[in-house]
Amino acid sequence: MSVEYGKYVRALTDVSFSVQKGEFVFFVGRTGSGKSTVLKLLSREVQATRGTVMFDGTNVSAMAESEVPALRRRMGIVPQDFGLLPRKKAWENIGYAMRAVGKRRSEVRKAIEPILENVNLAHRADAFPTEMSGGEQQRLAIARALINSPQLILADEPTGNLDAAHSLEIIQLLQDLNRQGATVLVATHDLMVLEQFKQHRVVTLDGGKIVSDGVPSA
Amino acid sequence: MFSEALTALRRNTWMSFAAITTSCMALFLLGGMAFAYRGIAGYAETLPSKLEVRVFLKEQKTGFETKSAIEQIGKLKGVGSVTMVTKAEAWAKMQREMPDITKGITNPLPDALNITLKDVDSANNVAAAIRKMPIVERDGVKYEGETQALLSQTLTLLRWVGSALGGLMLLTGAVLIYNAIRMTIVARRREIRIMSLVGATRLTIVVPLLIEGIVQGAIGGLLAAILIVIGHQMMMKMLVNFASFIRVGALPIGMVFGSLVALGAVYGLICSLFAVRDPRGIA
Repeated sequence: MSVEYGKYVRALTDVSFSVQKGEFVFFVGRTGSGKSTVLKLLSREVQATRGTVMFDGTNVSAMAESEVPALRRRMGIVPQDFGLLPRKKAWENIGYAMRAVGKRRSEVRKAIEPILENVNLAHRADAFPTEMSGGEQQRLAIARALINSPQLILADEPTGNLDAAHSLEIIQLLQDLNRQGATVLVATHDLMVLEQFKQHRVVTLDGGKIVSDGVPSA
Repeated sequence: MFSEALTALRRNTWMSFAAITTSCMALFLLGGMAFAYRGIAGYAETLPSKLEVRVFLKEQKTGFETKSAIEQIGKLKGVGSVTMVTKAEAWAKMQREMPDITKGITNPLPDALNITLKDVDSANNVAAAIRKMPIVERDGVKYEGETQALLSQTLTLLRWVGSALGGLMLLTGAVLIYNAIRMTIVARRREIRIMSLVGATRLTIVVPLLIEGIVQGAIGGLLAAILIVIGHQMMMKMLVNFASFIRVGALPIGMVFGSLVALGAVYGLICSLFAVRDPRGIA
């Protein structure tokens, strides 16, 4: 598939790959290489100019706009900037997202604690994002991505704003979620992370094209 | 969703204030003009038409004198028909139309004759001849073609001024409500993005914004209705003191509030529908 922004900017050019259910894949490359675009194609934040994006047998590219919310409820999206609401406490950030997808208050009350426990943040439920460390904020963003028990987690630069220790902690968390059954796709340019998690598949992009695809430790 | 809308209204206090006051003024002008128009048009209906002369008769008269006068008038050049309206008939009609004003009063109206003319030009001659009749009250001949013409001009002016000013204010109000909603979208871009990413439907995202527009329009309508009621009360007092011969009908308060609040809400909804065309795009 290819993605063009306007007439002159090509984000992706004739890229083709497939990811199996349960895989953990890193998309790496420099800024502007197209790794974030790959994730956005899957969540339909971006439309392919040419080609087809399939997700679990569904053609995402041909999907009507009204079907996109249902598609996104099968995914957990962790944006690059965390996307947390600063005036809401940690549990309220989760609750707000759950209410936005139509969950009842009683469901929200029951679900919040297990979700926060899953990312080791239950003890910080009443903290505001501004009172949390970068790692905690990222974990909260991941927790929010889990509200729909997603089959697929898309994490865009989840370690971009974190120090080494927190970066490893976040990838470890994503790895745990992968072990619980979720397919995880991570866009990153963090070489230290790649060095530590050599067992996972790495797709390298450069100038909107795939230049390598494989498992480093293999 | 209501709490989201109210939070947005609080956040954009000044923009909301501007939108509400402008829509209030627009609806006040349009509504006020409409009710004034309705009142004047109602008053105009009670006056004789251009081709009508109304004659009020003295209290002291015999049935023979009345019958003879009707015959004489019927023979005058230019007269089409003569109809007797007894004081009881006239009073019954007035009681039906203005129950609040006529309540507790004994019938002050005289018997009258309604004369239809074949042409306007004969009005002066007919009126002069009737004035000379002994059973006709002093100044009892009312030929109100000129008043009709003046009222007709006033109504036309009201229609134009009301439409032009009200339309202009409506347009300004629409721009302000549109801007207020767009600003809310920008202010809430983070929430809207998160809602969109977790799979909230478009409806879930836009409904609070639409409610915000509806609330702004409805509050504007409510304030406009209050202004119209106050204006009407003041006009009633003024007319009682300075021009008691003009009868101002009672204002249908329920209708004023109901129609203006509903109109405001629909207006706010339309403005906000334009503003929320692509909330995720703006966010």
